[in-house]
Amino acid sequence: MSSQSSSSSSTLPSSPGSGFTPGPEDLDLMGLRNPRTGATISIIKDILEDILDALKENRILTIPLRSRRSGHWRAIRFPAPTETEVKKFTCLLQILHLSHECLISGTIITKRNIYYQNPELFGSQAYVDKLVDDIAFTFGVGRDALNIVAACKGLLAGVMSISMKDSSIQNYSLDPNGTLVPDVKAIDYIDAASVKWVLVVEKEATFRGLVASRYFESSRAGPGAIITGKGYPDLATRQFLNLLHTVLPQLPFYALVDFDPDGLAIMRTYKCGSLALGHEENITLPNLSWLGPKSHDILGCPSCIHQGDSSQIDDEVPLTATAPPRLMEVSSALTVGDRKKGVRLLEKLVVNIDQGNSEEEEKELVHELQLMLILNIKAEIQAIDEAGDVTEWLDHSLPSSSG
Amino acid sequence: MSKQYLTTHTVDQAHLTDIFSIAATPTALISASGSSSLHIHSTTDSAFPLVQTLSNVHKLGCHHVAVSRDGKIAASAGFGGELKVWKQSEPGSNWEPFGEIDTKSSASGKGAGEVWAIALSENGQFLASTTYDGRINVWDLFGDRTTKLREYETASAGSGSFGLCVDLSRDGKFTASGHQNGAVYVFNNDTGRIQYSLPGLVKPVRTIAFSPASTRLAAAGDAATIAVYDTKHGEHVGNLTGHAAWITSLDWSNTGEYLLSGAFDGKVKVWSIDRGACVATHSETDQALWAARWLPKTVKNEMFCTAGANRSLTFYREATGA
Repeated sequence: MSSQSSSSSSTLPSSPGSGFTPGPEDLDLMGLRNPRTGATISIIKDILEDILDALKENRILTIPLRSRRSGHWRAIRFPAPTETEVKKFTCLLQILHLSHECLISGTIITKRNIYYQNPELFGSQAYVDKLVDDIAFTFGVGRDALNIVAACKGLLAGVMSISMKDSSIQNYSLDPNGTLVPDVKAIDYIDAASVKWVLVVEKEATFRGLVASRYFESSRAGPGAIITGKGYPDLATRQFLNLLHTVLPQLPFYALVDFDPDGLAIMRTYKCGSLALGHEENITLPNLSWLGPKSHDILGCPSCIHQGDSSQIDDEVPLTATAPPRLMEVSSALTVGDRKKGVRLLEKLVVNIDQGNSEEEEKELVHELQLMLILNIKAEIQAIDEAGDVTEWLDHSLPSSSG
Repeated sequence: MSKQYLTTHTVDQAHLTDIFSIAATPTALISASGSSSLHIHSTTDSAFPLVQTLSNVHKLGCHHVAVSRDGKIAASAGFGGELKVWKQSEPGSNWEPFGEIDTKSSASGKGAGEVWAIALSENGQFLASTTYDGRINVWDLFGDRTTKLREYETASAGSGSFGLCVDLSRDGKFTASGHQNGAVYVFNNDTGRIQYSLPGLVKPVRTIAFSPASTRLAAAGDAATIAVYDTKHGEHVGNLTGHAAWITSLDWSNTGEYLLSGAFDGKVKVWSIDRGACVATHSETDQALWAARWLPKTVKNEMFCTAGANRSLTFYREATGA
């Protein structure tokens, strides 16, 4: 391995604008800090101070809240005549406290994380979500201005650990279900020194299967990391992948997506960004390469069958030259929607190629899409899973790191 | 008794991408590929030179091309859903645009939907096409192109099985279609009604062809078997077995004695209809063949051409003597 990748695995570059270790001042530089942060902090501070005063003066404690439905203001009291109101007060106080802490320290908390602070108190994630939105509405700000973000959809597992700004360290090789992808703003540094490859998986089910078998340790391609955005990836997952690529530029990324127009479009979303957010930076993964399955994985390559007929050569053939395991015998037909989506994607790709900003892989995508449309077939990754040979196929398909 | 065919010429890299479809006129071969242009190679010259390129005609690539038996009218269907018509004023002259079929809208209100497979009648007057939802449309290219002459439904509206292939009988009387679900239909163009729903192949039917006398219909696809039907009574009269891969292309010889078939494993076979047996198997490639066509008999020996994933045009001729 090059010295570059080993050094980058320890500490993230911290120069302003590089975007990995934003201190409070960097947040401003990067435009990450909401200009209203100061105002939001003082609103919360006022509420908290008023509660302290009320305690001292033996008054009823209140938190002002505006109804999102009617727009009317009301005070949530403690103590209160109903248990519902008491609970609401306690929950609001806790959320305000957490938000205040995050705003002061320049960190981020997910709604999910808030819930896990005290599941018994909150009762449900939905209740937390509702209160967070209520608070944001009351303050007249977006949820982000509270430094509270929606729970990240993506899951990650691999031989890597990440140190967070709050000094906690998350080890991604432990949870057999994978761990939620961290918010890039909460990351201090990524330790992925031994990761040789990153597999970006479309489907959560595929991800879970691979993680349960600890494929990120047992792969023939060496130790690696597996990530899924569960279908079309959210911004957080894409930001994380972009960050990982920036930190470890030598690290190869491979996409394992369905052989259907959606799968290819999802891969394009990881790689090039979605159409709607095409202008955004730091969310793409240009070096993501398409692992498969491709048409020849599904149909088998005729030449392989041919070789099988003449059984003269056997043991002499190196492993890499043997036929890849066939993923599946049958596949399903494209739906009308699949075909329409396929044609639209084909159009986008061809326009790209015409404009000259294409690469070989785009041409391959065009070809595979055309085959898909002509043969009217698609294949989903679950089907590989059922056959039980997805790890075998990956071992064959993932290029081994050549040291 | 088997027949011998020899590779007489190969046009290497005739296209930049897979050749998905070819069509033979009495003097030339039109080929379509995943790229945007159509190529025309002369078949009267033993070097099969490229004599015309129709550039940028199908932006997203072209999946089907068809030509009338008299070689005067051609049609091509692209991945973008467009359907273009071409004409040649006299044999050997350049092909010129002869309009398009607007498949998005029509005078009758309902659009034709995505055009997939296409076929032309003997003189090019009628064009049949399939849609993804199982309909088969027939147009009169010499008449009012805004209205479909016939629209055949194979199921309740919008729920038919994808029409993968279509053919028109030489006498213009019948239209036949093969579908994703293995169904094979024959329609009577005179009455505008379904003539037969034939016992299909269960697996997708990717190619279908009427014999020159319109008395037989051959259909094949993923079942790797060629089913032969009698069109007079709508009976399944036999199977031709021997391919080991999906069959992508079928073509009857001019006399109706032989059937040519191309398959996904690169093998091309010639079948004797009388004997119900394969009389020749050839393979210049182990990559998929997308098209196999007889060339109209203009010289003493029968010739055919294959094309596919290896992007080349391979011409075969029958070996004389034993």
